[in-house]
Amino acid sequence: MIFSSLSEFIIMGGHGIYVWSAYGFFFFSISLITWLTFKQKKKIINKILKEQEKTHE
Amino acid sequence: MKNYQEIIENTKTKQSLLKRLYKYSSPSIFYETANKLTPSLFKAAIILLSIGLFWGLLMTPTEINQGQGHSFRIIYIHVPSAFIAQNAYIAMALAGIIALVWRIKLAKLALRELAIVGFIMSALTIFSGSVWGKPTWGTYWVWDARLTSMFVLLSLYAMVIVATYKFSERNTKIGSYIAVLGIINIPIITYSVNIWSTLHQKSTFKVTAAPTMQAEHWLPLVFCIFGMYSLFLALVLKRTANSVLEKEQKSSWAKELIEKESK
Repeated sequence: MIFSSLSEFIIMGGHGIYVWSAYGFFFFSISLITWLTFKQKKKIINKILKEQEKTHE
Repeated sequence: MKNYQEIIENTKTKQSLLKRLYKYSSPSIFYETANKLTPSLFKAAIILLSIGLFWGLLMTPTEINQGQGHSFRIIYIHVPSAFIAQNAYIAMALAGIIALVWRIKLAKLALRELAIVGFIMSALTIFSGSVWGKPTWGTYWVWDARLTSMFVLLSLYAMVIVATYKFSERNTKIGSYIAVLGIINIPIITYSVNIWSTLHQKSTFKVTAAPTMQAEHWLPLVFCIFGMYSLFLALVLKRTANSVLEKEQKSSWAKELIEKESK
């Protein structure tokens, strides 16, 4: 462990803002795309089913 | 005589390879295989990235000789994203060629998904690079050769996404041409730091050579790179499989699957 305290870990000798914004944007975007990718299948199936209902009516 | 036999053997293996290629490019088999592979790829990505990033954030000592303090920890995001951003483009250009020449449906569908994931990867590279640039170079952005060619890469991905967003033969053709012509940007990115070295440093981490960094710095990076590769593969396979299902909804295997899912 390089850091002796939590605040030291967060501040990172004044570089915390850069490090954390890079990591923050990284985790935000990969989580978002993964979540969207997992939801995609259900969305597609619902769309197909809706279209099928329409044609049956 | 021996030569002939060799040639015959060679053509035999080639044939079976082609057959296998055709088999996996058949929509239903691709769908099944991709869905079988993605859960373990996602798991591998989570494990490898957690190890690499925790290691990089908490355990590696600061790089003394560069004098940039803790901001070097951004490397564990920046370099893996940059690797994938470039390799995804090569994959996208190949998909473009296959779509144009052999008109394989799978390649046409993969084109858009590769562009979407590649766009995110190059955006991550540029963002992490510029917040790293501020404390290191004193600026978020300059039109240096490396930075400019990465910006071009991002724009090429954006163009392919816009072109192929709605699936049609014409859109696939336009997207494929953009992807194939844009490949010229890839060697420009690679050699930009050697030819016009203005601001971005030369590559310190290559597949082909021993790293110039110390092991405690590059070892977590290896974990991050493999983790990002798994994530990239998982996302592209899953997304392509989803669009295969959408496009093949009229075929019997897809109908069966949809019926099973809707219950």
